[in-house]
Amino acid sequence: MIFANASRDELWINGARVESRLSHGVAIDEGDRIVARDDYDEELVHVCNEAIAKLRKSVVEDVRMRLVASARRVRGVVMSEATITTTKNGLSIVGTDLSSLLSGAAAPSPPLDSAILWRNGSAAVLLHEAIGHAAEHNAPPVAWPTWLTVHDEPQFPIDDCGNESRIVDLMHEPPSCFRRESFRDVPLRRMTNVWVRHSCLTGPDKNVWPTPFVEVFLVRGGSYDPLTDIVTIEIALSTIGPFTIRKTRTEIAASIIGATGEPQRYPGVICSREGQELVVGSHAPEMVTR
Amino acid sequence: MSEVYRKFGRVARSEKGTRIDVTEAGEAIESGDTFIATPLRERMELPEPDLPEFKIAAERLVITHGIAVHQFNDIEWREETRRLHVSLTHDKIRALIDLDDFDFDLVKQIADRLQHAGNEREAPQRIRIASHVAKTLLHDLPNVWQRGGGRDGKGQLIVEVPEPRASNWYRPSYRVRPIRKAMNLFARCERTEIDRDLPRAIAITNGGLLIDDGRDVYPSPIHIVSIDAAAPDGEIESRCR
Repeated sequence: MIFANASRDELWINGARVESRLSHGVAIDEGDRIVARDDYDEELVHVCNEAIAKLRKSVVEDVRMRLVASARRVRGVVMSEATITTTKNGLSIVGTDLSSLLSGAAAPSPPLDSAILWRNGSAAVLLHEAIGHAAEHNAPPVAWPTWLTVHDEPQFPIDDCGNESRIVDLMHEPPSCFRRESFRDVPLRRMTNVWVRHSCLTGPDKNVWPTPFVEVFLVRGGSYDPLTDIVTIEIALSTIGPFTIRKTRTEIAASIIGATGEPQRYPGVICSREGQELVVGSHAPEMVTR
Repeated sequence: MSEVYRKFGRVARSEKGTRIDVTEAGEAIESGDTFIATPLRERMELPEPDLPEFKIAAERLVITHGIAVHQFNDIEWREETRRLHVSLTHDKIRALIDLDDFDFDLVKQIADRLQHAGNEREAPQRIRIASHVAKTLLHDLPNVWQRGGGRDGKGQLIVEVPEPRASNWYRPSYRVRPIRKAMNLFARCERTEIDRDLPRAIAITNGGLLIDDGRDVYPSPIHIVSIDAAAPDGEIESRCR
């Protein structure tokens, strides 16, 4: 099995390009050994060059922007990704529209022990850690609400080991796809594109749900520790400012009390595991935890 | 003025039971505020790094052996590195071991002691800290020096100076912009004899250090207050709270 990839990334600060990198190479899988070389692949580099040129059109002043265009070929199929991570005042999103998030945080401050309303698709990050990463580690089952589903839905036909990709229910099995950040990396079973959905029969009943809410808009980072079964979520932007949640998966499952609306795309999860950073799509409805 | 750095390297790494052999060469050019890194088509013949077999029940085991030729402007130097990273677990304790050699006997000893670990205890007032643990804790402590030897990421000689005076450049890859960082840290004290009866920190844990007092083994959240003695082999004696 041959995996080839190329990537071009650029760092722009205040509208000026300060860093630029090109990377390309091939990994040949030979059973439990991988032989990797930085061979040039004209087609993949061309795909990256075209994609990064398009991304550059979104560069603006007064922010830090990291542009990444990558392409890979597995079993003759070329697949590509392009992302911009925008950072301003210590807040980062995958995308360019920070303004909508910043305006949402101007609500009055409720008490710290209030219920949490996960807005803007941010519940996907909580469940990415508590269900997705736990599934990657084959963690034992937890009693999640029966009206809640979490699936990994790959957007590409073949994974980085040449297997056909497929949708999986992360509450019952690990992601199907093996992924690698580059030709230098060992492929790992990783999430690709997380969709959280609900089947709550009634709409949000603010008489039933606890109020007031702490509204969460943006998450700085998260982790799941398979040894302690503890999930840590660092909230970057909420109506009470930054704070951290540390709970076991059982506690998180018990804390989920409702959801409403259609899944919204959360602006960005750059997932790091074993030193390999990958973009994972994230979508969730508004969700409430106690 | 542009600074040009080139690296030709081969690395063998064992990770999760898979061996990966990587051969690559690249160039980094820094000019004012701008950093550009690209692979080189040029090749340099380098020997294949060997990778020893080592098996242990571990949460994570990464063995790395790299051979590289570096060029910075007119300076060329060669470097060979060995790295061993092990994450061992017992109950809810995770012990992390990072070595710059393949000391598998040390890993086995720690693994054996970890299996006897009990509940967390308060930090002892005085401990000794094994050299491989001390290396990771020394940043920002007093009496810490940079050991001389080798060249940094811009080809400059790494000289023996107190850590705050170190002005060397750390460049882990040609794709990474170098940063100023003290390297090869060690503690220097007038007293070089360690009290060998003190409890000994043998690994970093999730939340502190793994302490072996000769009879019991336990994790402890430790804050080092001072370094009271430093042996030539890198082991240190510290007061804690």
